[in-house]
Amino acid sequence: MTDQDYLRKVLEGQTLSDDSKELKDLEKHKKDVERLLKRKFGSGPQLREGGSKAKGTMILEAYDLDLPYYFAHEDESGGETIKEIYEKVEKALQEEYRTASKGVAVRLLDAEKDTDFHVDVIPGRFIDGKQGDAFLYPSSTDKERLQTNLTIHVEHVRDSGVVDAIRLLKLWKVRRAIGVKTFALELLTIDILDGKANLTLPNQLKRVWTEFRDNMDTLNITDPANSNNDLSEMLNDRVRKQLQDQARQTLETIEDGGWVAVFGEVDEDAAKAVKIEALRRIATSSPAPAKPWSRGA
Amino acid sequence: MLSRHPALTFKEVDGRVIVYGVFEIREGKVLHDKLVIEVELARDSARGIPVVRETGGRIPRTADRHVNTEDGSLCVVLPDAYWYHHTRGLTFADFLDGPLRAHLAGQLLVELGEPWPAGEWGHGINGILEFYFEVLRTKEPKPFVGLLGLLARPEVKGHWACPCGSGELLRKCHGPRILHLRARIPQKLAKRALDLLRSASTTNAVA
Repeated sequence: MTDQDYLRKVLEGQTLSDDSKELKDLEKHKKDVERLLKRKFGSGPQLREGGSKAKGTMILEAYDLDLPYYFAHEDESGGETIKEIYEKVEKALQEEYRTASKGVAVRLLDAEKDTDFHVDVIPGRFIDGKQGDAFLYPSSTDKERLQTNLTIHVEHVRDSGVVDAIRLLKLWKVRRAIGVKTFALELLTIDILDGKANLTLPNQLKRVWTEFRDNMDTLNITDPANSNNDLSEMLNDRVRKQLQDQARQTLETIEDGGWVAVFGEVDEDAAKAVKIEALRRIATSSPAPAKPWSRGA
Repeated sequence: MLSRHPALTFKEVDGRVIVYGVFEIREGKVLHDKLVIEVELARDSARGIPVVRETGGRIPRTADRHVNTEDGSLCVVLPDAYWYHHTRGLTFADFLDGPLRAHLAGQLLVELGEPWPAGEWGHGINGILEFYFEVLRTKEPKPFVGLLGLLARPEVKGHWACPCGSGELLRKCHGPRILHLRARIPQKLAKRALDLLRSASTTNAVA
């Protein structure tokens, strides 16, 4: 198996199929949240999907569902300030869930058990009638609000041409417990691989790690939705050092033990089983599944 | 038309329209596999059955993989069954997303050692007969040939004796079923099946 094939297998093993229990559970929570918020705030604000699901960067080992919930800019039913909106939405969610503040999001937890549902509701308000830019409440900082744009974020990642590399780097981050925010890792990856989407996956990853190892101090990120947002804390000294050290180690590991030493043995049977199930669904998805024939006897 | 297949493009060769490129087997955003194909649009009608070839060399050109060995085209469907299920035909886009997508997923399953998920027709006349056995609901030689003959005729009359041997008038026996099938299966295909059956002297095979 080539290194490229190996990394593809790693990705297959990290893919959540449409009928997986994990995705079905997320979908169920989305519907529950939608119903709950509609009951509280009416049908004005719409619950949308963002995060890794919309970007196409979801991985099995660390998945969650971001649900932006934005009020129209003139809608004050959720509160006058963005802080009030955040608090009212959080309170509404607490009728059925235990919640935890997580940056601009409200994370949903099981009300009784110590279970994380992997669902983040992100309250916000559009800054004008264009349904693009929105204000969010950064609950963990002393700032009053943060301006961002979900659509731009999603498109920036989804259309980058390097989504597979991003998924593998997310897996690398999770397995090595690197304290970098996924958003920062995505921005760094897209920046480093700008114009290099035609490289093979192994070469894309090596390129990113080489940059981390050799030029970490000079790498910076800019919020594609708002260049005024200060993202420097996402790449503080501790994070930079961790990325640099882990990248160095990883490149050495590849030299010594190959790619398997980085991402481990792929469970070919499991990856194959996932693919077979998906192909079977596709092959029988037509209302009149076609049976093949051939003219020759 | 091809917005859902951004890696496909088209060209015109000697008056034939050919769509070609990479066909992605996706489920939502998840890309499961891809095959290089060439699809020639039907020349007889906009909703005719296109001719498909896999040009990447991944699908062996053997009848067992449902490839017509003489021209390398894929037997995506049995035409008789296709028209039975899609009486008005399909638009080209619906053909790509329906039968072709399902067929290519089936080819990939076979490549992985799996059977065709919806089964497969026998090759040549055997597959054609299997289809008519199924829709005419009989394998008995005499009634089968008689009923197939009714599908191949320009017209049928309800006062005729039903060829199934029941002694009833057609309208009180197989008539409704025959009308249902005649409305779906082109007469020329039923006639072809009947001609093949006769020329192969398949009375024994039918039995």
